[in-house]
Amino acid sequence: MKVDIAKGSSFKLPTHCLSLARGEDNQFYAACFDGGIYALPQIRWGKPNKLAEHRNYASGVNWSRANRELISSGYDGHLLWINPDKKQTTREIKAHEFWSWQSTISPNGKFIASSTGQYLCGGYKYEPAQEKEPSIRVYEVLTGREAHHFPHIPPVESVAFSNDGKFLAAGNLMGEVRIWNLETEKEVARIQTGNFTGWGIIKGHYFTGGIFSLAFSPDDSEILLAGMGSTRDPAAGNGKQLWERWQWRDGAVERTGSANDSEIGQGLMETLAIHPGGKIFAMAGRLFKGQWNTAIFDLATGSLLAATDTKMRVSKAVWNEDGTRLYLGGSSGQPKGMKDIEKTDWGKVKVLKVSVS
Amino acid sequence: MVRYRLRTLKHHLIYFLILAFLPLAGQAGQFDEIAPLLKEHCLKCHGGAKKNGDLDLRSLKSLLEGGEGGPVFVPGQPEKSRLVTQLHPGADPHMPPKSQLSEAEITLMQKWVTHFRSPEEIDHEPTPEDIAETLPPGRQPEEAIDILLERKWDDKGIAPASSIDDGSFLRRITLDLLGRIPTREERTRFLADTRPDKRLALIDDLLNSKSHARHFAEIFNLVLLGRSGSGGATRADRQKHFLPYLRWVFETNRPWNKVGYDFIVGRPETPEEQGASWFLYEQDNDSGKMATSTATALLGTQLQCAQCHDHPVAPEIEQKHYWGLVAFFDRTRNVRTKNGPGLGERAAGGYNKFANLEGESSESELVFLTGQTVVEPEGRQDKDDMKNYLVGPPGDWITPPKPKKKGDKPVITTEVEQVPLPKFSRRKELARLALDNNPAFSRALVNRLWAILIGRGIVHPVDKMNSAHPPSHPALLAWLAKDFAANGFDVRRTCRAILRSRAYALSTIHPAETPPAVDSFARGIDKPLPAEALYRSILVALGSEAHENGTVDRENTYRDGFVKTYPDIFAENFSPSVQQAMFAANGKVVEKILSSADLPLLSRLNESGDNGSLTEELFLATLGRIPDHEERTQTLSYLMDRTDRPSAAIKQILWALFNSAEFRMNH
Amino acid sequence: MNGAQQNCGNPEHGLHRRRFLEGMTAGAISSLSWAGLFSNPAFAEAAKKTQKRCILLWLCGGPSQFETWDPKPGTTTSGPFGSIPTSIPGIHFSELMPKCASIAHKTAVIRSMKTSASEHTQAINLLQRGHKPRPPFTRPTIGSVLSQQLGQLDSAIPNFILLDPCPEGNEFKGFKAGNWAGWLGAEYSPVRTGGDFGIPHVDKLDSITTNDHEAREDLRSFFSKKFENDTRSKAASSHNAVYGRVKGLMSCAHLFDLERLPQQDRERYGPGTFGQHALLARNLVEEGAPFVMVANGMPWDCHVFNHEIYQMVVPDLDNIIYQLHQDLEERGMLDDTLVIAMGEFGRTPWLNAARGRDHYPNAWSLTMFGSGIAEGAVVGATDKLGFDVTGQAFDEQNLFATIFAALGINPHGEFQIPSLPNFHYVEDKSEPIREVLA
Repeated sequence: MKVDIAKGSSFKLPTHCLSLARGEDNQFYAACFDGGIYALPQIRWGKPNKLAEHRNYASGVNWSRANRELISSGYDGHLLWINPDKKQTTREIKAHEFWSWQSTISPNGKFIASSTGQYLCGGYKYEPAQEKEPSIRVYEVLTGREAHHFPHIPPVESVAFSNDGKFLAAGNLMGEVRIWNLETEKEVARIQTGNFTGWGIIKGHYFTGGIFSLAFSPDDSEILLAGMGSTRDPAAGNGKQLWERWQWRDGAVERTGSANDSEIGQGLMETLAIHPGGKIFAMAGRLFKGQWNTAIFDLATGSLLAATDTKMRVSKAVWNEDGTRLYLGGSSGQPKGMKDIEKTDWGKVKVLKVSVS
Repeated sequence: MVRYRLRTLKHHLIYFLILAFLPLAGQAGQFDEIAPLLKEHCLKCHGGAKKNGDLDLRSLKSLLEGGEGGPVFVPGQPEKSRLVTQLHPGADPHMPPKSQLSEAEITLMQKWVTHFRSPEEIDHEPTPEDIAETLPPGRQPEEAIDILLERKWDDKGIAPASSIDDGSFLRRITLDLLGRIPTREERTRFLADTRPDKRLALIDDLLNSKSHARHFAEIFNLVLLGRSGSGGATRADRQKHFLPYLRWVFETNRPWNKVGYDFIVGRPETPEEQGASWFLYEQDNDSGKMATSTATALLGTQLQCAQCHDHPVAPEIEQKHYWGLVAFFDRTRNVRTKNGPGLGERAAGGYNKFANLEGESSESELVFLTGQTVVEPEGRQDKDDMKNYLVGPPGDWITPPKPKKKGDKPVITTEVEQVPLPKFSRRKELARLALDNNPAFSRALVNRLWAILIGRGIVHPVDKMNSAHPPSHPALLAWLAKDFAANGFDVRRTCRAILRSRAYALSTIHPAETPPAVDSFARGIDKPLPAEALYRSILVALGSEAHENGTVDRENTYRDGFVKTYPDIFAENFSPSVQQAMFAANGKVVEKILSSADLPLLSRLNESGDNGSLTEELFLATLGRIPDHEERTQTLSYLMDRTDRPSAAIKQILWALFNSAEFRMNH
Repeated sequence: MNGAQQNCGNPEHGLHRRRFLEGMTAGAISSLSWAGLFSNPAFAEAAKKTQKRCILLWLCGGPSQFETWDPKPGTTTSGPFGSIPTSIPGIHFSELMPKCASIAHKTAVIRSMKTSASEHTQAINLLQRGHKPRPPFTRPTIGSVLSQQLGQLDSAIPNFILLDPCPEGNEFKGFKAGNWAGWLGAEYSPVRTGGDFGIPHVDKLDSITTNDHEAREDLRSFFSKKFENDTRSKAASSHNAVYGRVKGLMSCAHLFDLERLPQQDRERYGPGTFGQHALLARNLVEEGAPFVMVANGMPWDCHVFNHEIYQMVVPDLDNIIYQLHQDLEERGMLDDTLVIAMGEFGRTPWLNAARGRDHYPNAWSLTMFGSGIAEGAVVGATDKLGFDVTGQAFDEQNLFATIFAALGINPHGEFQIPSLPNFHYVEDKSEPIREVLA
């Protein structure tokens, strides 16, 4: 398999883009630091269209096919149902007291899940304190009714549904992934990987890192995790650009693969996106040392197929419908001048043209 | 020591000419006048991390380059120079933007601009090298040291301290070269020796001894790689590989440039050279650590701060230099052969980008600290091939195998018959740049030897040799470095010169009300004993034979107790801790050492007749001298109060002597 | 927060200020009499008589003012945390500091710090020593000066204690290994302990009697001090200084044992090392230690993951400051104990490419309460986005003048060390921050 990457178009957003969603006809939506949920312009020189606003950073945006609405989440702990055509918020739910770190919609469109949890000092070594509210909540998309909630150890930075819609996984700061059966509400698997968490020996004695993105493999037999490899100095951001793959079914929890050291550099990886074709996946984040901040891997063998440096920090990667384009949302940091900082759009979405042969 | 005599009129003239120009010697001298002011008020925005208006004020060169708006000053015309006019109150734009320089500071800038002479003009002014050249030819290196130091003393009106007596000299040099105090026999013999050149003979005897080689091997083991091993490396690893190599280096006085090659290139041709590979091997395939370790150990400069941004105050160290040095190591891969650890190297790969705090990423190039770059002869090699090797690697280095289990990491072979060697070796290129014709390499080692023997480097601290830490005696450093390089990088020669110099034998006591500054080298410098030396000296004082055998080779909990408590070795500052005093006062280690039943001294003391001779014995054994009247009185009194427990009293007096500053220091 | 409001809008505070101005004649305003620094001269007298103590919570790395005492909600520089009102009308703290907000009317905050050092090594030295370096002289750190001024010469408890359980800390580690006491001499350097840095060997061995143990040290001291005097060796002096501490430390070693602190106290201060050592500091100060500095590596230096870390460290600090205040108040120690919480600079208004904040000495905040400090004082302000100080800015010299004055020490007094130039506690006649003094 050969993969080629070429630069495509790019869009500006007012602030850092934390999340992206693909709607109908490859219409993309972005969630940004300013709290706004935006529709990206279809033409290159258009302006993003603001559809709704959270009271704090908007951290997630999801497209619901069933009712042709967006469901977004934010650091205000709220979920918004948004009609993009009318630019109306049709429902607002307070899901959490603290931030929604990540939200995701199930592939069958029925449920929306959101994870939360504030990292608070819970031990001598600054281990996280126990949760004060359920760390994961799941709502019915069509009614907004809470369907489930699940416990975890905060902060729970990532959450994902299995493709068959039957399972939900959530990963936290300490590298623990819990997987539940939605029907029975029982926990069916627990993965402990210490490889994504650093205890700051050099700078400060706290935990940093965690699992920033989860994705089930197309047949749901395995789950991919992404984040930053552990390091003595997480404050420098110099852990490995790491992904791991685990099998989890039927109690057989085992790591089946991870990124090859020779192919990766250092920096936090925030997002995973499995290609619509199901054979490859993208991972993206920040380049601290190495060659790339966005890379495409062979799902089966785990080897690197292509990579590029988009010269910005990527928080979210989403494929277009036929997998020929990869949308990357992020930014390169806020402008430093007092005049620029209020006026300049500093968030970005960059599009990569990807060909697979 | 030998006094310098002005041989010819020519030398007279040159000497006085030099003196006249000394304050202005070198381009840096002039810039030095305003450098502190710029550092305090301007570098934050016009320095390493930021360069507003594209203006960099860290060096004369960058100041001359000016900024976005062109040159910032006109020589001789302060009223036309933005460097001055923007400083006045009410100026627009005003520099610094949020504060106001004082009248005195503005005047300083004005004067500097008025009297500025371009680098071309001051090119003919003598450099430290020029000054050093004026030494009459055919002199022994120690005479050069004396001359250059004495010139500076004369210049500053400093009178050096007097020389120490034979007993003190013996103690000092034995501690420096053998890492312990002299034994009673050694002392008696030396004091009884009537030869006028006995000190010179002693220097040579000690330098050529096996004990010295062993001691310097220990010292350099710690100095080159630090006390604690990196990652999983243990002391056993050092003992097995690194120490035998270092011992051989100092026994044979191996030329230091060859040592550098041994470390960096790591292609041992004889069994003795094998252990040098440990220098890089210990860094566990971490190219960043290999780079910083090499820079600190061999080039005397810490690079870590340039990992994320240009050095804040030393403009010659940029981020690209850090990552450039790292790049030379990026193809290295540890291997194991039947002879021990080896440093394999690939013929492809090792390309990296690095990001600064602004998030801008750049490709790291093979660029050395001097700015010299290396171009790969075959261009960029991403894919490896057997034909690129002189000694081929295992097949899986070229084509990583398909992993057995889906998604597993491919297993790369690291057990090899021969160390893989590419045709183009980045490390070999680095060795060439770093060791051949690189004055910094010589200066670093020479400075370190000076620091070890004299007590403070000519550049202090020894691992911060950059423009922000100028040498106290530039001509001396230049001369020593040049002599070192010109004579086959001969470590023993340089040591010998330093030991024979007048400065080495100066007393730490100086008669002046305010003694001269420590970096004038006009008086001896107190050197706290490292843990091993302290421990060993106690054993010598107690007459134990173990001091000879009690080296790093053997597992030794007492010595380890000392090492844990007194971990500093040639530290920048002497900072004793109360924990150390507690260890001495209440720790079991010291107690056990003093209680060992079979110590020759204790048995001799216990059998001693009168308290008077006992007191003398105690002082002679520990401090190498007899007590004075007051000390005698105090000690006798102490003994008299404890006639019911004489051996306890003796132990306590020994404790008091061992914990006196006089024993603790090499003075 | 309106920059023109230099005081806090608290009418009581305004009264302090007026009284202060009334008490001074025009000429006396420029007079540097220490007593004149206070609105109430009687305070100055009282201050001199009582035993003063100081706890410094050293927030190494540089805490972000946006997430602590000077939030900018609703602006592009606010970050994701909002603000909450405090017990002072019109004043808000970060929502991460609810407990400090509730006692704001009893503490003081300075929001207008402006210093010149933006790298850790220079900035830590600057804020620990209160003045730019002037080689070849090394100015002693605040702890060393205060330990000399406030401490008793022969007290058992060390006069300067550094509690820092984190052995690393990059530039801070370098600072810790350096010369704390400067020209005051090694006996004013700190006893460092905390975490794994216990004080081992605190008990005398059974193989020696107490009398002999002391006599042995006396003998050692005789020999060693003689050597020190004969040679005028600084190294010998440092060496002797640490031995001089052994006896005192042995007698109070139990005070350094976390395990001996009451369980409810330990729970109140939070389980993390910083809280536990802050509690230890309170205990030590109660037992008479004049200066205790509590640090924990450099956790505030969040160039990367700023908000992910600050959501944890700020509430932790919030609780610690609150508990300290409550405990000292309860024990009637507030008037005699000065508590300071500060770092070496603040953090940038903008987020960098790694979604963190970088160093920012241009405008930053700190808090103080206790001896000599006005209650409810909020001094200074920054502009809308937090880029710069509006109105008068204060530097390290003003800060040190304030600290000395609050503890009953004349800031413009001279060190009077023979063989040194005339150094003052605070140079250039820099003024203390009057609004912060009671």
